[in-house]
Amino acid sequence: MNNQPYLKSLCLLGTDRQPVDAAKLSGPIASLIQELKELEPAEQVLHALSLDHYYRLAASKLPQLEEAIESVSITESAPHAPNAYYPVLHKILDID
Amino acid sequence: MFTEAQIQQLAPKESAFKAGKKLGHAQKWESLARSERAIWGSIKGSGKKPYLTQIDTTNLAYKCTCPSRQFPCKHAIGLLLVLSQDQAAIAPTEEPEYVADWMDKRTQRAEKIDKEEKELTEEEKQKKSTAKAKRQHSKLELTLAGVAELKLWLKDLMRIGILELPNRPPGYFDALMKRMVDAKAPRLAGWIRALRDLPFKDQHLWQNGAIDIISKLFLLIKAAENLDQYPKADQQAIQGLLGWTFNQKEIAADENSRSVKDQWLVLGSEEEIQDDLTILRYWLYGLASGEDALIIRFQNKFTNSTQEIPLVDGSVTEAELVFHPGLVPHRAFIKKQKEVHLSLPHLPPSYPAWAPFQADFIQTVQQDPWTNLRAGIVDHIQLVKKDHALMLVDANNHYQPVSAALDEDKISTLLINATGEPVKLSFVRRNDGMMPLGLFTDKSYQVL
Repeated sequence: MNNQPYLKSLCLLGTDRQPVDAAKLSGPIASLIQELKELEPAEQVLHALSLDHYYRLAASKLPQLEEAIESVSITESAPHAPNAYYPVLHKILDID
Repeated sequence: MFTEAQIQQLAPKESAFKAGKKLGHAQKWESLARSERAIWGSIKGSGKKPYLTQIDTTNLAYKCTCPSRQFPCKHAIGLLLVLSQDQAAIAPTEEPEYVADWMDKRTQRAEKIDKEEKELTEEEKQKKSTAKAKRQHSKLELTLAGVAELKLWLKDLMRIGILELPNRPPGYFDALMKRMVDAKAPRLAGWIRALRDLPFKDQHLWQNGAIDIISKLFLLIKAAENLDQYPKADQQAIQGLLGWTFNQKEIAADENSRSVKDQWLVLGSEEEIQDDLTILRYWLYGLASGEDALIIRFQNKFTNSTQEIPLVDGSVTEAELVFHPGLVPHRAFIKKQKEVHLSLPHLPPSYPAWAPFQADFIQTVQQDPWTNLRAGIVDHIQLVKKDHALMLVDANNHYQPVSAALDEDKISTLLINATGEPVKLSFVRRNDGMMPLGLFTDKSYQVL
């Protein structure tokens, strides 16, 4: 499942109008939201956005001519141990 | 040898270049001569005595006895143009006293600065270091207070949703930008400015752009909040990202600073004007190391650009670059320059296709999540137009979009040169695509 559409909608509409629902997320982003459930919803979204942004970059594929540009799902392409993939990012966000 | 276009880039104004061009012929000069390190000449002006103009050709610098306040003056521009046409026609000779004096003083001044740094006693060094630590502590408190306000602002934005951003008046952003400047974190103000200036007419562009900025900004806020948990080098890197400036002499003297000696090709440059400030960015590429470096210079009506070694697009400068502290050091300054080559001695190393460049970039982002504007060179690139969009296609048919910021003139040059045979292309990676900087043909480099 690609988390980007849901995170984008949260970001566009704001957490006052659309509460954060961890069930609509998957993979490491869903775990992150669970881990941060004590924080305000707005701060949870900020954490998730930062993580998702870089995961998508790491998983991005170069587009090929005669092939449509497609966004890549994190859960499809991200490594199983993402904290080993982005140690600096995880350290900054203080997550396992 | 400098080309006419490069000399035009050095001129302070278009009118100065035009005036200099009229003097760019050997017959206009009463005398002309050169040594291994300088060129000089005399030329009749409006005064009684002819003006004496001289140029340091190793560490580009100019001096002229004319009363002009422009720098370089039209005589220096004229002399450079004479040099660009036929250097061999001016026979090398011994320097007259006024040229030798000036050149020797320039060398001595550089040596004196090095010596002064080394002559501080241990006690003086300790005193200096304590005072600096105290200043830094106060500054950090100020910055962290600003960071806390910014975090609150971002959380409010997340609560109300970014769909409100296009309706916000400029004052909504400007007040926060001023606050960040007061908090000694001007680069945070830069992120807010980027949010304010998003292209709100293009829904896809502004929404994705805003999310990109917010993601990176929040990460920076978290890094600042936990600053004391990082090693010193990383702390300095994060302080740099917040906008703290570091003294170049101190960076150069720091044994942990990274420095690279190489022949640096100036791939290209860009100018950005923010209020009264002009920001000049130069992308350099090491001909031996294959490393890219970014040199940023700031100019306003109070700065004296004559203090800095001029950089000219397409020239090769043999120099030692020192890198600012960074998680992956990228921004640099020139510590010592030996010589400027006006032609390319050999082709630089390059990526054979987009995939290895992309892999290297992602690896860099893993170490420095804020990495941006990295320059590179890729072989076998062809420009292709698909659905009104321009794309740079490699030998494997992989492509990267061309940045929307590329202007029409440069697109035309690219269309002429890169639609037939594939070319070796230099570029800067921006968020919205690649910004081509120049092309390599045989052993020469053409700036777009």
